[in-house]
Amino acid sequence: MEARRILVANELTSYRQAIALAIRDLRPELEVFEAAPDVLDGEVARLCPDVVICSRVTRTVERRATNWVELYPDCKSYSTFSVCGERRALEEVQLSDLLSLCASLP
Amino acid sequence: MLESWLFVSMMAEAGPRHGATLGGTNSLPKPPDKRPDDPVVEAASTRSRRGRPRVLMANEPRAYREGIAAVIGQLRPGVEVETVEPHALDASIERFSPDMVICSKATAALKGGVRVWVELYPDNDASSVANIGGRRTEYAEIQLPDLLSIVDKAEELAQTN
Repeated sequence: MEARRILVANELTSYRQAIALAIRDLRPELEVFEAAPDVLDGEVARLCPDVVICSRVTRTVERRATNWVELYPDCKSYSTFSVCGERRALEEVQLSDLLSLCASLP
Repeated sequence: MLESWLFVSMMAEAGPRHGATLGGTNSLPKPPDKRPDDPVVEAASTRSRRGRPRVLMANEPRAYREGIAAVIGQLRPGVEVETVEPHALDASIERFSPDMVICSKATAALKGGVRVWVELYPDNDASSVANIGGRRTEYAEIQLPDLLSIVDKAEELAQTN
């Protein structure tokens, strides 16, 4: 089976790098990619990721990604998880929430 | 090992719960060579107060704090990392005596009591400020390797004191 692909494209470079590296280290079975927010749509089209983690979900992400996380939009404390089309909002997301999502992909 | 560390760290952090590839670790700065057979380095290491240098993470939001802590714990295994909520920063400085702090807003207690600190994205934009032994550096867009380099400098400072 092909490795699940995770695209990390949240804002603020060191945060993006840290999340990408942490997922890669803690879930080595996953394929983790990193992209700046301004190339998010293109990378979604190119990589067809199983999960997108970003700061601002785009129409392309909504249309093409099965699972996505809008992480701290506008640096607010809440985030939105969309898993197979089902959305839920979470306050104070932890790293373990992201890891759990990535590990439990259908 | 990282996983077990992560869960221990998360257990330690108080707070209620409410409902293109990364450049690769090869691009990150390597830990400084400690040359344990060097008597000067060894003596400095022995002087190091409680053993391992300490990094206190108090930036927000939480997942980013935990992500950076996980990476430092993985790539700098000789460093002790603790994460706390931002409101607990001052009390944690007194309790933990960190050699370095990463936070979102530097406090007077931090500036007066810790030699190395990073004010990470204080206005939620890309700019950050680092203080390393009294020397201030501004970053237009700080990178993870920058943070690791500052950790290394904090470790060096801790060992020479």
